[in-house]
Amino acid sequence: MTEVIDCPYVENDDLLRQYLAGTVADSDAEEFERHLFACDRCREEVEQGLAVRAALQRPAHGSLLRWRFPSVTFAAAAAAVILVAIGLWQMRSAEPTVPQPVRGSERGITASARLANGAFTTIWQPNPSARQYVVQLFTADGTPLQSVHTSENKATVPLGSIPRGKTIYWKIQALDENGTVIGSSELQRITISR
Amino acid sequence: MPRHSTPKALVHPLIKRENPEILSATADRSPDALAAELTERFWLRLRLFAARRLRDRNQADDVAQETIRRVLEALRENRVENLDALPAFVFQTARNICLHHGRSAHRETGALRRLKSSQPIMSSEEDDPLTGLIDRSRRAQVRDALEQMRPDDRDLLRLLYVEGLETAEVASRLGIDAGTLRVRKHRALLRLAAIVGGGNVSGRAGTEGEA
Repeated sequence: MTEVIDCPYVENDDLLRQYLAGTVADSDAEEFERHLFACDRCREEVEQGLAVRAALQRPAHGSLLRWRFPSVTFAAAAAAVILVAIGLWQMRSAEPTVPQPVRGSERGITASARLANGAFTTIWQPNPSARQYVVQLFTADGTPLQSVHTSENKATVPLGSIPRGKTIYWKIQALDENGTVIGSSELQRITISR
Repeated sequence: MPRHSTPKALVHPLIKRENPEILSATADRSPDALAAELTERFWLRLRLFAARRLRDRNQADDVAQETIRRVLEALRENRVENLDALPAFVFQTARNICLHHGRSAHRETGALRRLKSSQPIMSSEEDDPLTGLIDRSRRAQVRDALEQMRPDDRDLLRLLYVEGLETAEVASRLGIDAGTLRVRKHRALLRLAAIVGGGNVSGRAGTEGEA
């Protein structure tokens, strides 16, 4: 026995998640919302996806430690990874142009970005302990596109020959005087308009 | 609009069919009962709709309340001729109220808006208007539930809903096809709902700023 659902988003649910992420165009978002008012299935997934997103998003304030280390087992594993990473980092020569993988007590960075005049411009809340920041742009498969270091809390990165319509991913990392990552934004994405 | 058949077993048990009672006999219902039904059915939708446009949780609550009030009034005055189109009527009412809010905000804060227009168009965390609707206790409840889930389920939900990756990309990363991914997603959401307690994961009681 089957149940027929009149829902164009059953098979293609990318738009639903883009809606939750705030990355869908206004016209598409409104069309989806018009559908959402009548579709219980989509409402249910929106409710659940929103809750998952809110629960797993790094909080700007508050219970960061709890989220980072939700259990003793995980805390121990994380500590071991950090110790190994510190050891590896100390063994290698300094490469000032590459963000260091070592992570200290990390805080979230609230960042935002826009595309204008063929460049990616981003601004973020400064971290008082940061000596410099790294702005990183990636392709969808994780290939680095650009990496820019700056001591300011904003940066503009020329997009060069990236085709129109492409989605790029970006994040900001804050580094202390040792090059340790002490803060990071969420990995976000932005689409270059056609 | 295409019609898709979904096996019954894959229909989420938390999905309720639209409440047919509200589409009939509205005249027999007390104002309180009708308002409660409208609120139950449309509250989250209205807040999502308004929060995305106005980027303000409090204003979103105002819009939701005002929409419910106007729709209730229209129902009681028999101004909604086709009750099958009630969702569209609610949508359009909310849209009009949002437009009014937008115009008011524009008049009152023109200078500020011009300043904001030179600011970035994307933002994260605190500026996320939709996730801001989920209150802290609900976040903690869902986070606890996620921690009890299998790591592969948790990772899948994170890739889909937090990273916001497209189906094809997540499927590629996990080495599965898109159909398998959809089934795994559906089952993961079922397990999450079961752990949370069988209620809506982000139900009305758990959204921020409600009385």
